[in-house]
Amino acid sequence: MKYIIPPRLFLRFFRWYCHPKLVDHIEGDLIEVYNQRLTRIGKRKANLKFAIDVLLLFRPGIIRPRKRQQNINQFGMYQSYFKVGWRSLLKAKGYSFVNIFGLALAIACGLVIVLFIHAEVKYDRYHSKAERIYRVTRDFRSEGVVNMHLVQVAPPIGPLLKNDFREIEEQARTRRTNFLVSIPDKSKESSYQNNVFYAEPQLLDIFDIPLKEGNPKIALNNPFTLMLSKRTAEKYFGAERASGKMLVDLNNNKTYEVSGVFEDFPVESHWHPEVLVAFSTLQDSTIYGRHNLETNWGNNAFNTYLLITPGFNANALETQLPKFIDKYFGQYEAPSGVMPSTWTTLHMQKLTNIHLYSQLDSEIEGNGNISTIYMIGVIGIFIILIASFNFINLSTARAVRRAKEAGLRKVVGAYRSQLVFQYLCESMLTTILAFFIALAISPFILLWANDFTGKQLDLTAFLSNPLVGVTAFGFALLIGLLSGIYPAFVISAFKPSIILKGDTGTQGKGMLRKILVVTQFSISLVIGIATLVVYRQLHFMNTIDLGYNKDQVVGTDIPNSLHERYDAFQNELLKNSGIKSVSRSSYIPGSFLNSVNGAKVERGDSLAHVDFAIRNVRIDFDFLDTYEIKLAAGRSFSRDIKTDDSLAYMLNESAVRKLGWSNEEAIDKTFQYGDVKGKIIGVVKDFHMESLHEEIGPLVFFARPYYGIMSIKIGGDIQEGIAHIEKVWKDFVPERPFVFDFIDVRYEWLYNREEKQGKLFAFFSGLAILIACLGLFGLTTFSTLQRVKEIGIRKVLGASLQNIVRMLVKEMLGLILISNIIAWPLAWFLMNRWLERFAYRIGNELWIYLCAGLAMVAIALITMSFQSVKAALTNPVNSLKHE
Amino acid sequence: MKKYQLGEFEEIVILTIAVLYKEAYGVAIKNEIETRLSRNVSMGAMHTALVRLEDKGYIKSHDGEGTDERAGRPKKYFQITALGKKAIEYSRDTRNDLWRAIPKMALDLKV
Repeated sequence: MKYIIPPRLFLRFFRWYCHPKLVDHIEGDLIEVYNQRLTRIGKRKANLKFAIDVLLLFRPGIIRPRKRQQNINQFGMYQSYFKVGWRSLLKAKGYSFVNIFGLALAIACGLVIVLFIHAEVKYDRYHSKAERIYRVTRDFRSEGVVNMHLVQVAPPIGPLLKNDFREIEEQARTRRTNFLVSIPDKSKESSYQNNVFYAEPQLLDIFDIPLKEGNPKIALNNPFTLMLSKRTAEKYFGAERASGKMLVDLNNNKTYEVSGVFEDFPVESHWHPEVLVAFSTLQDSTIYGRHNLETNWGNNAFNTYLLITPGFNANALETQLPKFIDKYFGQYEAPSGVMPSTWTTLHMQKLTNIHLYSQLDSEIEGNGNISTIYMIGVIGIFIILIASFNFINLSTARAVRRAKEAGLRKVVGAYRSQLVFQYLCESMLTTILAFFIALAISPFILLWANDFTGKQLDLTAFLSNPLVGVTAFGFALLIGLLSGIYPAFVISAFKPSIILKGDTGTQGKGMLRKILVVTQFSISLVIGIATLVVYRQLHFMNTIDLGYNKDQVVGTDIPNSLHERYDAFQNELLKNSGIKSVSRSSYIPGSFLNSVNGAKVERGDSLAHVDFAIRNVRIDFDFLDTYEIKLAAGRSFSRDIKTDDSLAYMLNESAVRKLGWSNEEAIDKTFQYGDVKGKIIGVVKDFHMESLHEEIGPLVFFARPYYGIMSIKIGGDIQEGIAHIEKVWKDFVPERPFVFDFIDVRYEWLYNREEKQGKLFAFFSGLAILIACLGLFGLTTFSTLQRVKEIGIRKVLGASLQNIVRMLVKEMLGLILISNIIAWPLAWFLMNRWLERFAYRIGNELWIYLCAGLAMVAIALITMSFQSVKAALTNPVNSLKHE
Repeated sequence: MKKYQLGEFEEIVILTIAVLYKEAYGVAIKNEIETRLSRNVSMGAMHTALVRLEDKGYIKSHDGEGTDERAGRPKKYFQITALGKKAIEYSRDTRNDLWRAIPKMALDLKV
């Protein structure tokens, strides 16, 4: 007998709120009554009465109880979920492997990145007063633009600051130097000791420097006493107690007594002194002199640290510094009428910011960089994103296989939330597995990372700070959760009726999957392009014509004792045919030029002040030859001309250009630098004295001592050349070992950071591509499996191998093309920003992008081809057997 | 003597169930009450009463066949229990006692 169902909406509403035990028969009653009314009063009234009935049934006795399940012990379910989840992982070993391994890789990277960032961020924070410690820096400006910002300042500044400002609780100065150490009662050879710092005793009050031997209250008080770091003490004195022992600095033949030993500075400090010498030693006029300490405002060589009273605002203090500088320094500058604060200012830098944010011109040691941290952090997130997307894609694709199970569970009475929970558990199981595998892989990645960054990271950092470890684990779980939500919802949404009928249903929305694949490949492309650009720039920098020749040139510091006998030394060296040229200078190519003085130049009849900074390099007669630097006009310094070593100047082309002359016009013009008035005898062709990060600035050269560095060009075999130099050195300077650098190695070091970035990008792009391809592989495998029958039929109907492969591959290829379209503009923008850092750079070349895009396509094709070709080659008999 | 909590409507429902004997299920009960007492019975009130009566133990239920009319859903048949019988008897007896106790004059009223 036919029956009509009452209005759906209210019926659903009723089903929703009604207690399960009552729902069936009350519903039956409702339907029966409804049908009776239909015949009696007609449809509309019957509907109305039905609605009223439903509404009136909404009462306490009939509404379902809030808590749906009264289960108290869920444990059995969890066990079952675990078992089923584990089995399902095993059943599809291929996918599971791809999923877990991809995730593990990403998590391992994440772990390493977290370790790295943690290590970088905690620099200098271990001092108990770290938040209150500041460093004084000084900048120099011309025409309003800062052209030098030094980390060290002049000696009078520290104590005067403390005097003037009561917010400064304490100050301490240090000054770096090096010793040539010899131990009197040991017949050891002398050895170079660098990282020697003169330090005021208050340093121990400001910083936490635990002492192994000695009394912190008096250790740095007396002149000619010093403290050694633990490892330095071991180096010189072995296991013996170092306190009380004597050592001699052969640079000036002064004897020092060891007054204590301090614990080695930890890695996370911006400076690592090995010897701390009592500051009062500097009062000795043969070393520096008290007068100098109090009045020399030009010698910016002193690191000055301040301890501020708690709760005080450093910015407020900084605004008062210009006045401070005018007050004390002004007296020296009075004659020129220009107040010093117009061209030099003091700044205060927070100690904890030094490592990541300070990139000033004379840092004690190379610092890290906050942008590296950001970059690595972002890359890490991207990699994890890619892996998560893989996970989502693969899980959703496989969902169809779990459809039957899901349908059955629903039939037996599972709520949708239970199903969701079950699949979430499974995905978290996968993630936890991946996490542990990641832990196993991490040490290997760490090995590489440590090598790369020069640090010593290891996983025990997690043990020392359990919070970090727990966060990492929690984070991994979170990834599992987020990645697993979508597939869980997809699987639990299947309608049991459709599933059990045998129809595996649609694949769900292919849209999401496509979006994920496109994102993965876009990210990989961007990183890949970045790698190519960085390497291209590096290549460019290595092959560009620098304007001089640095091959086989050796540089070494000139010891004091060699200065008077230099000519004889040079002759001896040149006696060997392997030595082509020897010269001296105050700077060598690849240094940072920080020596600058005022200049005046001939304009019409008088001398006018030059309003831009011309930095100076002192060179000798042979410098241009040694480096094969060319002249643009005029002549170089010559021994034959008497005034060449006092009144002659050479400018580089940039300087001449800025002065408004042509190269020829500049010759014979009067030029005054500092207090010495002379003439321009030659113009040097521009060459890159500094790194390619900088524009070639205006430079002046003159041949007056003091020269600090000797450059020796070796003509023939390098080993022989060095052996000869060493022999001659021993004759002239027996008390010192011969220590030298290769200029071209130094040069490469200028771009160390870029090289590292390049390697980093290469690694990560490789990783990203690997993970993305893993995902692509999994997806292709799956989709070909889905279409096994279709392929079989096509083959039977006559499709060739090519046709089938093309069909399978077409879709993915389209996606990759889209990735290209997205990635190119993004990468172009980013790379532009990066390249701006170089004054001399490659253009943002198109072929790089094409290359990267093609490579990506090729890789993707290869990845897909395995499965596609295999599928296309299967015998249709096998695929259609079961029809 | 136990007190039997029995509302007015609930009492009617129990009585109707007893009347219908083996035919007492939701719709039948509703129709019976509506016919005999000429009052409208909402499904909500009735089913709530049924649930409460069953909870109190005055009636018991068993499921029957589903019919086409009900789109296959089973009917739930109700029967009065011994406890329920006691309850309605108590009710009837107390009513009767009250009636007998009324003096003649009280009910001597002109309409």
